[in-house]
Amino acid sequence: MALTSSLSAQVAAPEGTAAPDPNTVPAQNQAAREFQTVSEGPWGHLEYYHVPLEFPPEHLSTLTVPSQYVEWIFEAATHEEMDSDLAAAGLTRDEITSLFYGCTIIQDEDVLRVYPRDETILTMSITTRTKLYQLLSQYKQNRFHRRPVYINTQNLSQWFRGSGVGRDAITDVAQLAYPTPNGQGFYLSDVAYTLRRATTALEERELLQGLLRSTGLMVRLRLNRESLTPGIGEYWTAAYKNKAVMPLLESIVAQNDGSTIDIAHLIPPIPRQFLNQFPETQDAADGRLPDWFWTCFNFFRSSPRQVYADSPERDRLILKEFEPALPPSQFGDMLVLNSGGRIIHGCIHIAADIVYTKNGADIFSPWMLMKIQDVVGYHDVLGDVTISTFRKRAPAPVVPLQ
Amino acid sequence: MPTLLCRLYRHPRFGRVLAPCLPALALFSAKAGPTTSNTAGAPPAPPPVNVVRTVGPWGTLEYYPVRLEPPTTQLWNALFDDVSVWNFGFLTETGVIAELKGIGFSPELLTRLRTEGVWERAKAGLKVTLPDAIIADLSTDNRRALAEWFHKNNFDFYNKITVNIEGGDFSAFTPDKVDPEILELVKSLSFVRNGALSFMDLPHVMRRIGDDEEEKETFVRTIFSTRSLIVRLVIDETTDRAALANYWAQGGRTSRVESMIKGVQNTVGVDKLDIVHLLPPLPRRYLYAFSNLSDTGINNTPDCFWASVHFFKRNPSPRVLDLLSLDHYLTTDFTEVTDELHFGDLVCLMRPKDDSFLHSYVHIADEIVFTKNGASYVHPFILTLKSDMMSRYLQEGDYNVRVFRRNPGN
Repeated sequence: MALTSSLSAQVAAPEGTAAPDPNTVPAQNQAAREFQTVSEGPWGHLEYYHVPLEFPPEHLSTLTVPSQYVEWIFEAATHEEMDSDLAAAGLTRDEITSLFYGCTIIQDEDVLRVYPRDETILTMSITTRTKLYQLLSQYKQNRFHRRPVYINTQNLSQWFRGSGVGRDAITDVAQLAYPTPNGQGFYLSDVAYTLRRATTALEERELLQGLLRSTGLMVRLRLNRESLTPGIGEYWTAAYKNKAVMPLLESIVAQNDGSTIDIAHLIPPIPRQFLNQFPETQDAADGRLPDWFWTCFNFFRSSPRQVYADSPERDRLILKEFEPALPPSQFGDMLVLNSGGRIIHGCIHIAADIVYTKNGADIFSPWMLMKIQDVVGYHDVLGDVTISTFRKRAPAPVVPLQ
Repeated sequence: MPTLLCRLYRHPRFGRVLAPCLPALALFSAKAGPTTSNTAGAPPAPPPVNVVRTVGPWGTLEYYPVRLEPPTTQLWNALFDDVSVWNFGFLTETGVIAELKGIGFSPELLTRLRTEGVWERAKAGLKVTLPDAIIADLSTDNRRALAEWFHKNNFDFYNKITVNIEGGDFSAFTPDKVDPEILELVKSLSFVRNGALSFMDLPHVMRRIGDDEEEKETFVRTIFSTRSLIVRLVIDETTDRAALANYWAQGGRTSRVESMIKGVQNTVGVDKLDIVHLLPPLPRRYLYAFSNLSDTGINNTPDCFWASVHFFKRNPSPRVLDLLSLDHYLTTDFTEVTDELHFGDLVCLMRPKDDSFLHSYVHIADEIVFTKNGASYVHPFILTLKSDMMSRYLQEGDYNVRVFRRNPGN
């Protein structure tokens, strides 16, 4: 409850009214974010800041807008079976009774559709919500429980800044968000509930767009004569899997000592093409959209190969083109997230704790840079994620162009 | 001879007149003649910070030059040939001597060429292999006249042997890259032609370097290095976000622009956004990069037109490498315009005498363009100043400019 209270407190003061907390509610024209630095390492001196990535408005029509009534779907044929699943998930008899008090249940073929009371949704404890929503995330019908909105900060005003989401809806989010199992950030699964704050279709679209936007990192490498060493060039060259970057870095130092270069210029062409982009319909020309494995496998390739996380050849390709590696990670390493005895996600190590990721195979997931702890927080619905590292094998000897 | 590049020069889209756009070796040139400064011995002094600002409907842009070197994977074996050969096509030996006499070669030099040169009639034409002594004894005027003769009479061969040294000076040849003695040799073999600093004796230099493969590679990468620009949009709290988005988004094609600008505007300590984030996906993918085998077709490799026509596309189409007329795309997917240039406009340079194609590029903002100068693997996709790019084409004479704007939905 403490975390939810903390979230609530930070949206208590409306923008522009008395005593705004500059730490949480930015005054007009006051910038809300600052750029950060990460520890120096073989990659050099990195700086970054967050940038919201707006879901393309022209694609909002592809989203099936849910009803504002929160729906829980259980893959259970009977109430007894449902209760059994709830108990197995760790919910006590009292919790179950409380959750289902006054609710509406529809028996629909193989599932039970439960419509809880508003009061139940708003007042359930964090522990109850966490256990219940973890269970619901196991059923693919519960879209927002399987893939909750991930919020990586307690500062909701900052999170929603510039999104067009009203304060009433933000207040709802503060009440309904719950901490991720590993304590990194918060989840919001009750997107449907917030829709009641929208009184027009336009407000509804703005609300969904605000909730669906992602926050990526803009990362830059600061360069000067003293700090630019061959080791930095070698780090970003990644044992010749990436282009030769040293001449570019030297040139920047020569022309503008102390300047920065956006690391978009240091990553290979394919990830650079997609960085901070949402998928477009052209990306699905082969019948499906790129997912995490497509993103990782094609990171160093000059033209993408259509392979996916569920492709039959996935494991063979991993063994063929990658090899297990131990820390410290290198630029371009594939970090694989394991949960529940299976691979649930993968991303590419860039530098320090920054990774290149596409967090879903859907149209709502952009390619972006994130902190690895946020990627884990995003995907670790069960709280048991472990990470394995795979390194792209050295390329075949260069055959000069003829 | 790189086979793919040989095919390029027969591209019916352009015919001979496109050839300046497709040099196998020639880089876009060259504004001035060779410098006279001697860099031997001492490390180069740090150049001054050279950041330029420009203000207009595009907002405030800040840019400075950088140099790109082709990586090892972009270099083909022929670049390391160490046999100096001239190819005179279907002329006879007697005919060659007459031609060279006509462009000012002395009788003594012609005699030595007949006796010391090794003449051979090959499938590719009449070739003469040259000893070092003859190369050394050629005057600057001889080299300039010979280059012009090859340009006029054997264009494919001209493209193969001629390098226009980027920037028109030897600033890329720093002592850590090129031995000062080799630099002096290059200077002595270079010549200025129509404003371009040219060089056509790469095999001679390879012979002088000898067996040091690393030094050879460094030399080749240096001589083919390309000048580009790092360009950033300056953003502060007074920046008119909507106006900027209107310029850079161009009808919603890059609709993510405004949120990127907003992200910078809302961040303390950040006041610039690299314009790589404002470019459409495909130019973003290729910017500062080089084409490779996966980009090539059976008849062609990406060139200036390929780079221009794909600017707003998400994925490259192999169809653009086919032997099609220029109008194939321009009349359907574009509209010719005469108003002020917009971001993303495709600009074609056409020869006045027959409206044939010379070069194309994409307008970015002010004098900044996106271009790939030639189909060669050593030429990257770059942002550069129009004046730098145009200096490559000075030798081609006058040209007309035609501007095409991509139609919505295409």
